[in-house]
Amino acid sequence: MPHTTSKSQVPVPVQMAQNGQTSRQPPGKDVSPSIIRVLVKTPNAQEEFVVSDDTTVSQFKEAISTQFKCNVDQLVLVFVGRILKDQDTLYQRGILDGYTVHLVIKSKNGPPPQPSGPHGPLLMDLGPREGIGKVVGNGGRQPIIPIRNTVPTPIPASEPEKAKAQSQIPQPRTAERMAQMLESPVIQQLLSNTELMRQLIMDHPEVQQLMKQNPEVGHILDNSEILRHTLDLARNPAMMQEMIQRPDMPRPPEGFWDDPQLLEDLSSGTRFTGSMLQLLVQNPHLAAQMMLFMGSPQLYEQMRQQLPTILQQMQLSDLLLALANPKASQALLQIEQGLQMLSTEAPALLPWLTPYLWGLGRSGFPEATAAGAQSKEASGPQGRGKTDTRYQPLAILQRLQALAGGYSQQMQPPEVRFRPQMERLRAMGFRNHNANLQALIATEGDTSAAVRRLKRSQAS
Amino acid sequence: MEPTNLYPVKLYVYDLSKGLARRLSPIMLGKQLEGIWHTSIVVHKDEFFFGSGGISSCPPGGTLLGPPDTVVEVGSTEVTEEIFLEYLSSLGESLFRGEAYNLFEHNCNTFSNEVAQFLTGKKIPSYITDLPSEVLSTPFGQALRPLLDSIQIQPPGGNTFGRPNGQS
Repeated sequence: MPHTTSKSQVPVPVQMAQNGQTSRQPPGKDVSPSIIRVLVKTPNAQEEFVVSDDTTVSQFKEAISTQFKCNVDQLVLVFVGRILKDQDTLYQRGILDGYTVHLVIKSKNGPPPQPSGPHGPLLMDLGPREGIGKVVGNGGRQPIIPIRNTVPTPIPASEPEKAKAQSQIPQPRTAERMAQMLESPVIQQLLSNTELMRQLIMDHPEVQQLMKQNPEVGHILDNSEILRHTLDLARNPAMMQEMIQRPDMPRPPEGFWDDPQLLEDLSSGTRFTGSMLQLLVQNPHLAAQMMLFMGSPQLYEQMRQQLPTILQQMQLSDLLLALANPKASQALLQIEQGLQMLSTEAPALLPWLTPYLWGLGRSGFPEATAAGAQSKEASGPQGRGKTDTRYQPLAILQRLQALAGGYSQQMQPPEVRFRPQMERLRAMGFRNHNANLQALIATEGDTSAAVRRLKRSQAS
Repeated sequence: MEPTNLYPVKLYVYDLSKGLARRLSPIMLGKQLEGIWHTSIVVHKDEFFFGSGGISSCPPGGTLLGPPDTVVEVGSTEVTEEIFLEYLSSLGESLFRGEAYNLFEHNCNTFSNEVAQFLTGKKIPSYITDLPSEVLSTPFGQALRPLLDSIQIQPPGGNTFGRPNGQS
């Protein structure tokens, strides 16, 4: 065997292998030994050793033991999962230049005891499941239960939660639509209703749980100032951008929203990430809540119910402009009549048409409802609760036309505009054409109000 | 002349989001992620993983996460249980203390990768170790980084390792 003495005399750190002093390896090795750098890695540290590749493992261990200040028999060298045996050379084990060899230094007292002590319920409050370790005898180390800002959902959900989580998730299509809706200015209005938002968030049981764990969440919700501030920021993407750069919640800066480049940058991402993520960054607790929010069917439902009203308001201004065009209102009338026909002939189709019906208004017009109900005796069976298919046809249209107000008046004389109401009034018994017309003009086409007006004038 | 035994080494892969990531990642991140992966190494009939409580072990599939979503055959090792436990102990005192846990930089998958290389010389599949950078390369991930950084994951059901007095 080659001399080993030279190796053990080499001072720490081992730098050079004396190339010529080690004799050649066993027969069969034609290539001269080459110098390789081997990285020896322990859990705590790592050292690089430059050795000849015909060094035996035992020689190598000697060097290592010097370096790491331990006994040779404490060393276990592992390479590609194989324990290196003393009599092999590094070359034989395939250890080439730049490779890493793992080192385990056995403790003097033998292997450590197997861990014990189960973790308490940490994340899901579902109770610990006892892990059955082997040897008990921990020696006093406590399981650490640090929970900083954990998010209750969606991270680890166990089996019973799994089904619930899956049923809570809106389909991607819907989620996308929701994301788009979130961006619209109408939703911004909703967000500005801090009371509502706060209510929505507080109603969620998991939020309440979160609040118990993190009292500061409760503070944030309670402090309407912060909430308003946050929601203000949700409406103003540019302010958000500023906020990100100064995370310690300063006063909102001014003048940044004039920067078109900034706005473009912000909105160039996916529409969802635009303002929503800014909101989330500002308020990490709100982020957690938003994630809950998206996973909760109750909140989602509430949101959905609010949305039609809001959407309707949003669409109204467009509608007003559209109605200024008489041809458009004619077309709308035809649609109305078509829908009317459908409701008698094929009421089952009505739920499919509710998106269109929303635009034409629901319960936002109470007077029109009353008037519409009169003319809608023939309507088919009512639709499902939220769609409220007791839609009001012509009256709604008239109402909208009335709202269009100035536009229509310029386009059409009231006689034409109020023709259906006029006919209704006449059917009710008001024969004074002019009086009817005047009343309708005064009430802007509101039939029942016109009726009251006429009655009043008749009585006087 | 002792016979060298070869012990199989497996990687258990869990999707922490239970499918949520696959559905929501296009919306939230702008890219498709198949899952939020948590991994553990199974060898010598035990499952070993790293969480905010440090290195833990349990019977295979014994955490509250239930059975793994995927099992990857990493390879086999000659490292005996005794040596392995020594190794894990020193790891648990140095590189993989509980306080060292960080969701992005130093998580359960970092641990699994390290252990897999020690035991077999092989790394774990890259789609797992690439996950943090995948998330961080999105605006959403960047923006939520402060929040995500503070998240500590510790699947319940395991027993923690630890040597009371650091001996080497």
